[in-house]
Amino acid sequence: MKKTVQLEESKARSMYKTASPEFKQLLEDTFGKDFFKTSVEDRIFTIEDAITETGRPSVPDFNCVPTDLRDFFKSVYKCLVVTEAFNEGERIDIYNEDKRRHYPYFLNNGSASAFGLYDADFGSAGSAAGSGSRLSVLKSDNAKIIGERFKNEFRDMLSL
Amino acid sequence: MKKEKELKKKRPVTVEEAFQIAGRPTVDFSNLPEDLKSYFENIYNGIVITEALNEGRKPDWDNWSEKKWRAWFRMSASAFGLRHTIYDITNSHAGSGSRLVNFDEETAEYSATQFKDVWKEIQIG
Repeated sequence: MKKTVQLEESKARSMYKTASPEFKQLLEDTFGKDFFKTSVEDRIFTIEDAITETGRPSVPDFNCVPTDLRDFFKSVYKCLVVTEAFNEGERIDIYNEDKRRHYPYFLNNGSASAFGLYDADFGSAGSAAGSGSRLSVLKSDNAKIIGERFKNEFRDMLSL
Repeated sequence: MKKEKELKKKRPVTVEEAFQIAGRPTVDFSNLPEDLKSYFENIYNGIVITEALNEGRKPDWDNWSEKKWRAWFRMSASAFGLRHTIYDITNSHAGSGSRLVNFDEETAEYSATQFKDVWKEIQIG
């Protein structure tokens, strides 16, 4: 008897990390060896990439919230999905002081045109209102990458 | 002093009062992925609390002369709570945007202590 298993790309990548040699071989035969070689920063450039990576539904219209808040909530969702994608499925435990939570830090510069990444910072025992596990990444380099690559989405989340 | 007393009178004590003061409706986030509902509900509650405390005034994110206060929390499962408040003028870190900041330190402190559970849930996600 044959049965077909459907596996999302994001799930396959996640399983590959801890798979037995036999299962790794099976995954490589199915998705190709190169599929598991590319790093997250080499495959996520757009919101659509992040949505595919995480398997999350596309950005909701947020019709449930008042009209003036919809764009804000959409931008939060986008930033959240980007963060999830760069964390490759690993959730951050905010109470674990040994684990740093990195996030991009922006310079407002007084206008939308001059807005840009200032640096990446981290928290371990403290955290600011509104940040937390959903908007922090595990690696400092990735905080800088998402701050530059998804600058407009972060600006929307911060300013709308 | 009188002004301070009046402000304190208007301050919401519960999330429900914040909704009344801000004039915002309650929202059903059931169309979102199951694991994200609570996060977005608490973000919405945080916005409504902040709006009620800011008495309708929305921070101008590009205004350098306007201080934007936010709470900084001690992250501990058993003792989560306000660590201190800080303000930003030209900088901002992910998650500390104009929807979640106050105009003065005292209000930011009040928000963090009175509505600790909401902020905690936002942190946990």
